[in-house]
Amino acid sequence: MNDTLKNSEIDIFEEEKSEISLITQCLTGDSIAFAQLMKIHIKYVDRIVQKYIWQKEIAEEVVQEVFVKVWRNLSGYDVNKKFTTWIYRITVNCCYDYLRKNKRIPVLEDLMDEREVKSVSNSQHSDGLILTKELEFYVRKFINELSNKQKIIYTMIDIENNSIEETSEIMGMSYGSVKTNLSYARKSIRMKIKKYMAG
Amino acid sequence: MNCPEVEKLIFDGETSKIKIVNDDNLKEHIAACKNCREFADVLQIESLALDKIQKSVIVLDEEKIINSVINKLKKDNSEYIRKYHHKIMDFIFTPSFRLALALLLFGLLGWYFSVEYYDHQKITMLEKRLNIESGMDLNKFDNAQLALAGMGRSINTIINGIINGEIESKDMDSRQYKSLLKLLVESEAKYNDKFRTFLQSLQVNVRNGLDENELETLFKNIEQIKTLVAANGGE
Repeated sequence: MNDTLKNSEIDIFEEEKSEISLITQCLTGDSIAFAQLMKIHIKYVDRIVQKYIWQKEIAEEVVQEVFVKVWRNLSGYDVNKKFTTWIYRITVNCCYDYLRKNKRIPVLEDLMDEREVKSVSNSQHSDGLILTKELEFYVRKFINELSNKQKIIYTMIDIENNSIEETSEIMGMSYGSVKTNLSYARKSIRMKIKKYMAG
Repeated sequence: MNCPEVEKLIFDGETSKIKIVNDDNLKEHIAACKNCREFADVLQIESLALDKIQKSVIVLDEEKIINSVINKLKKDNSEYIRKYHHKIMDFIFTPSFRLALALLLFGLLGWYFSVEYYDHQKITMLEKRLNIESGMDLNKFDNAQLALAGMGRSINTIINGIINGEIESKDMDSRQYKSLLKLLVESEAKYNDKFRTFLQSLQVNVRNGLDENELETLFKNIEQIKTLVAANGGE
């Protein structure tokens, strides 16, 4: 067990070492090294972007934008901090920027057809409540109807499971402001769910 | 158990998800209270939807994204270079830069012509001082005796004065200088070392106003006079 732990620690260390060497190569303008760096982190970025942007084409566009920003700001990355934390911050800010600039709401009906939902197979809840695609669609719709700031904060905390402190740091907002926005977002979504349930 | 207590018990503020609590009091309250029942239902739907959203995945074309980013970066680089060149060109063609360039050129030309002009002025002044008409050399000066008479001194007095160091070249005006040269070559005076020194100091004095070529011409004239005098039977 101990040996396995040690080996995994060594693996992490090796990964970080190779990541730093890749970053160093990227800083010299090596685009092949950057492609390798993207290959390592693209799944992570994809996963974050998908929580905020639900349309495939737009999500791809935003992921591209994230990596372009990473390339441009790589010289500002502090090697003493985790690369994924730095990339996470850029990704969330890119999503926020996108939502702020593009006020049009994604066509959710089309989105539902496109989406490959690999989620819960046990849609039958213990209380007999059936969670259908339609319900997910409506909750997404309600999230989508929030203001951009509330949407980002709600997603970061209730979907991405970040803490209020982490969110306030990434968003550059005060703790109180994040808490207030989260509370409004939750209240608004719950009210809409209640109305939906009432028919 | 009251409603706020129920809310606290079933809602996990950290994860925004419903907490399943097996509590008879809670069940009793929920069964009796419509508001809490509705709240629990809403929370349950929200929790399940969030769970589903968390687990849902859109399959993105990673290869396509990577290639697009690399192409974008290449394009970005060339655009940056182009923009950089444009910036330089734009800067060159800004009115202020053009004005500055014109002023610089004007200043350089002005400086060049002013130097030329002041040189010309200096030469003219010197020519005036030496009583030389422009382009006229010393050979043309033929009335040496008359010129010397104007000095009120005999040639011997002057030569002695020079030899003894009583008269320096700076004490003489151009007319006297030219007369002296003519008379020296006409007379039987020897070109001794002191006279040569005098000529050298004269050269230094004149150097401020004449360039090397002009100075050379001046001394060539002296040599010509000497040659002429020697041909006429002088030394």
